[in-house]
Amino acid sequence: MTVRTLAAAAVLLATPALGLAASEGGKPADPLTPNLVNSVVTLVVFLGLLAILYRFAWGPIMKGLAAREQAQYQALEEARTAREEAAAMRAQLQAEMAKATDQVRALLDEARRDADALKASEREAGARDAAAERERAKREIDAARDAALKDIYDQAVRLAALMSEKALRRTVSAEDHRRLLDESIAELKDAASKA
Amino acid sequence: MAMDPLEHVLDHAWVGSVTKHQILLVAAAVAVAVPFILLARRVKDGTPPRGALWNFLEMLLLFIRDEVARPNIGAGHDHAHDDAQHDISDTLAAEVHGRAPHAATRHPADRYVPFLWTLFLFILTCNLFGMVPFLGSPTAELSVTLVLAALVFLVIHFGSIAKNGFGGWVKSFIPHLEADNLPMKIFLTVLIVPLIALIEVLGAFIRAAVLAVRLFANIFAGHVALGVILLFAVADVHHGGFSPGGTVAAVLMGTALSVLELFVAFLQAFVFVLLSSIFIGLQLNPEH
Repeated sequence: MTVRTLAAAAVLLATPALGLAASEGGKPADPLTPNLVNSVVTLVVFLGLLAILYRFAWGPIMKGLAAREQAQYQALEEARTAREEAAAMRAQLQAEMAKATDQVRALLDEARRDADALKASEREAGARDAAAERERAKREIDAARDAALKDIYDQAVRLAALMSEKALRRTVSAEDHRRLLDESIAELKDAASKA
Repeated sequence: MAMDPLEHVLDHAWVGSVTKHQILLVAAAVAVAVPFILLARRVKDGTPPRGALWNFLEMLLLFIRDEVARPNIGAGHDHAHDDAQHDISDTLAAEVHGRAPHAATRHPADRYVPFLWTLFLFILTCNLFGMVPFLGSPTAELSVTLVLAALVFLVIHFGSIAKNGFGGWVKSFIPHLEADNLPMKIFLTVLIVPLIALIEVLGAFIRAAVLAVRLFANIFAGHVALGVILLFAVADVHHGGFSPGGTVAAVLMGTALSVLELFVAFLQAFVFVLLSSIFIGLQLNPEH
């Protein structure tokens, strides 16, 4: 690069010197006088330059520019297509998201309904079980109470009989016995109801 | 040093009978050919150029193609719609606005682009040679600019014949005038139409001549003015005296004028190619 720069600078500086040296000879021409030789040289040089450049520069450059423009058009087209596809995918994704949201909402609603129904049925079953248990306990209590009363009654009868025998030292008739029992039972029942 | 300001503007023999302008014309052709052939090797497969120099060279070509040739040559009715669709910037705009971009297609002006590229770069290089001390601009000679203008003239009219046919090319010089009544129609047909046709034919030659004279006159006059001002710096020395103020003023003015000439070198090359494109477009699309 440095060598090229130095060479270019040398040519640039030497050119005026060469021009000055070359200017020493020759007689200036009239600027308006037609110079056929210069015209022919101009024609030949220009047409030669055009031919050379057309073959080695303009053709390849125009092809390169066309290829580059085509690549840019293609890149833009691809970018546009990708953008449209992305927009379509985004729309599809949003639709699917909305659908999923609806499905989740429906599932939650259904689960909530199922939970409510289950809760209600469980509550009813619990209440039913509790009522049955309560009834069963009540029946057992009544049975136990009746058994206890019967034991008490029997004991009372025996005690009364024993006491009566001991106290009266006589045989109580069956009629007396029954009357005494009835009185004792009535007293016992009265005492039990008070208790 | 000679005291004639035309000394370094006019052509004269350099090497034997070979003149300065002849050598500079060949040098200009080489100076144009080498970098652009090298550029072509770098971008021929569609890869963008890397580096300031190569981008600058390609920028010159794209500017002439996209800002000069295509808008002016492709301005006919049959391509009016296409003109807005052929550059990449429009494609980007289409992307922004959600339109589908048009595929890259060959513009009708593209067949003239190689000629216009060569013309612009050749004239520009010839003009810039005039900025190198002791060289000169071949374009400051009418014999050179006339040939370039004649080539433009040939391209204009052969291009028109190729596109519109010989009949269409001839008809492009004949105006189509409407008349309400027969006497007026006869008057127009017999007198006005031939006169306008004659003016059109003369205008075709005048356009080419204007191209040649404009380029020659601008470059020639610029260099003569620059030479005159620079000679002020040494005028007193040649007459036995010395004026430091005059020398400094002449150098400063010469520097400023050189900067202006540098601008003029680009401007005149651009104007030559711009007018050529406009003239080609006018002739290819005569209805406009």
